[in-house]
Amino acid sequence: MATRNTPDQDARFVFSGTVKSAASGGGKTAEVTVQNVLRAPQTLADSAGSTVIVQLQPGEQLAKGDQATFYANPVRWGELVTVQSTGHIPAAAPVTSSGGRRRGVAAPGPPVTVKSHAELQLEEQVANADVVVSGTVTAVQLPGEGGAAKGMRRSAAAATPAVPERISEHDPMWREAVIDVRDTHKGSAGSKIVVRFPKSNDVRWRSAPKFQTGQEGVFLLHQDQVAPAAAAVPPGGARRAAAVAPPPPAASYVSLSSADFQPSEREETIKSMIRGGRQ
Amino acid sequence: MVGKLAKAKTAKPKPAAKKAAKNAATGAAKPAAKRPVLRRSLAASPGGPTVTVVNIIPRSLSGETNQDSEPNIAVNPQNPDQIVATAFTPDPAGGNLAPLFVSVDGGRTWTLNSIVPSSMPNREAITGDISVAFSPASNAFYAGILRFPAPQDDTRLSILRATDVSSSNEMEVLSDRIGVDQPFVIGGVSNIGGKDRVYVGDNDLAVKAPVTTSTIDVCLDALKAETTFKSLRVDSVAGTGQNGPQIRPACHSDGSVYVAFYRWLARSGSWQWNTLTITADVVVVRDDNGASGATPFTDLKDTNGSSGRRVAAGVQFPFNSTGAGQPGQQRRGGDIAIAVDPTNSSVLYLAWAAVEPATGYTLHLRRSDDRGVTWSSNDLRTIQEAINPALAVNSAGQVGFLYQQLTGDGASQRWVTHFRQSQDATFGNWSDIILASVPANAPPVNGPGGFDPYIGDYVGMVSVGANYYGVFSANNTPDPANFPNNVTFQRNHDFPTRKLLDLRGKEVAVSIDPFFFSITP
Repeated sequence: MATRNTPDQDARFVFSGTVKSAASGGGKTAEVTVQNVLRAPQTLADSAGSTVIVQLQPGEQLAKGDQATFYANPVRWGELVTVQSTGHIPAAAPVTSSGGRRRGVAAPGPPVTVKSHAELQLEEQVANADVVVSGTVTAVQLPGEGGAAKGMRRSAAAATPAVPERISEHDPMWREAVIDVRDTHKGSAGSKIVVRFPKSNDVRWRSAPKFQTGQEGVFLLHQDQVAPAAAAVPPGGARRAAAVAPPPPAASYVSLSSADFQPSEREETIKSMIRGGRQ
Repeated sequence: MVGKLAKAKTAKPKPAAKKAAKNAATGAAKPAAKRPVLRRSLAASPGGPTVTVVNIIPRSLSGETNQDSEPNIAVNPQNPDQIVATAFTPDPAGGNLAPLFVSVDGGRTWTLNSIVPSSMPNREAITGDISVAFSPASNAFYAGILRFPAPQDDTRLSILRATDVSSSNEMEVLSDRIGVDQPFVIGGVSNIGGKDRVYVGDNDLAVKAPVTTSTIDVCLDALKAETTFKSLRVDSVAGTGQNGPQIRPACHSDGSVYVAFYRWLARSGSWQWNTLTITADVVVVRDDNGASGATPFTDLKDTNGSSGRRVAAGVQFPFNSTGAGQPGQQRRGGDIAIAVDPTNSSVLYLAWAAVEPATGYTLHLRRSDDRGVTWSSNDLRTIQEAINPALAVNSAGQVGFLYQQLTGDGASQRWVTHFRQSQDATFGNWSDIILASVPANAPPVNGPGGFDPYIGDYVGMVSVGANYYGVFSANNTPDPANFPNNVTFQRNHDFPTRKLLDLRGKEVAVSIDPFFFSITP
């Protein structure tokens, strides 16, 4: 029989399902058939109908045939996916002909907010952005090549990127995108802003947008951090001296995540998120 | 002295048509496919090597299209069924721990287990460069990674340890510092007197000139609860102030440790415009006491008295900023591999890359019988247009040589992954097992989701007993003709139509996957 736990509402995989089998002796895992996916990373978005292995929390119990809403986080991917339960809410049992409820489950759990992983990511991105603007990339330039904003961009051949003293295949190869701002949705921005981004196609920068002239959409931007974030510097770590070109002073913002740029079709959704005060 | 070599016969691939027909009959996966059955292909020659090739993407991730490049591997010598592989693979669920591929049945089946502390912003858990190794005696597992988050203008090294790679326990962080590139621990773990010695090769760009950057981060008792790693500079000769990222260790159970690296001498051309060319020496250093003394890695002298033997002088190679527009879509930047004979620490093998006028980007393989003092005057093998060498010497003293060679032209270019093994003491006769021959032009390295390096700046191979275990990355088209020594796909596929399928049977685009192999001579 299902026992009720207090699930973690931030669990990454939330689904309703039916217990196919529960491990005998100890009952630490259960095989559950997924019926409806309520929240999932992209890789599990289509998992309705499949079976997952649920590792139960201490004291959490499930029996064959139990139906519930499961809150879990994926931990292993093999023939099947194994998820660690953070708790489940038993489904309301159907009322029997005598007016009672099977399995004695008293009531359904609270309604589950159905959100995709992508929506959650976007919400986080909107919340964390210092500035959100709609606009168009009018130029991509080398760091400090300020003429671009005035329409005086030098040719690529004339431009001379700063040569790092030491070369790493993970060098970001910084570039700046000049954005003509059409509308500011969050924060404060002028009519033009400059965003630093890594041009490098190296794995380290795989998630960073590679802005192109003419690119139009919504930009979710973060204040440039010339100094590394405190949390990212290991204790006792010293910043590498001149290992790469110094960051440009002109750029006000930096873009390192693919979610920093959203197509224009998402503008209303983003504005709605901002109006909703989730940030 | 040349080591005693066991006689082995050359593997002969099966006729492709026969193989394709066999695979077509057995390889088509369905959404409800059962656990894959490993089909070991015996070479055509009776008594020849047993070759196993497995695409290690698990069935539950059949829909993935990630570029799982730059693989590495560790096999537990205490339990060779326990194997770990790595690649540029993100956590599929957007958690905050990056994954390892784990097998507990000798490589037949694989599970993705996220226990590596490294995650980028926006719910993407992945490492940068990663290499791995098991202790030869303690069951401990070690990893050297470029970790995220890292400062915007820097890299971050972490050295990690796990006691159980199958558990969900996050790996312990033994060392954590910034400014370091390409940590390399495969080949770098020994156990002396019950203590794990861990040697992580890395390119320490944080060190100030004129000290050069080739570094070994070493801990002589890595099993302790509180570990201390020392950063040892292994190149005593000032060059350009920077050496190449390939710092490759090779440990022996008698305490000998060798390290191979490129000593950069000069550079020309432009990094930004992808025309940079490096001139370098290929150098090997040695420490006879596991780097436990006051002057580590100074036991091997060059003819001029300086530490470190130059095996090749003034070689040249490109150092690409991207593989886009390059042959086979793969950036090149030099390649080095070294291995020591487990039966005789005086015997070692070294492979390196250099551009040659007649053969282009070329791998050279040589051998030393006297602890690196002298080397075979000619190449044991010379492989044109090849990258990603890996070397391992088995318990019979036989050297295995893994590499990826670019063949063909234009749209017909292919990456061909070879395993070669010396067949006799003359080194004139080598087996040649083709593990994969796949298109080099798909997917595009600069297309959606693509990045450098296309198939990786390195691969991995180790030996345990007589067997070789390795991993390489390649285009994952499920075409039996691409795998002349057979292959098993865990992920859903259909060999007759050469298509990948997701869990609902929908076609999945081709991408780069890691492939495990084992070879029993």
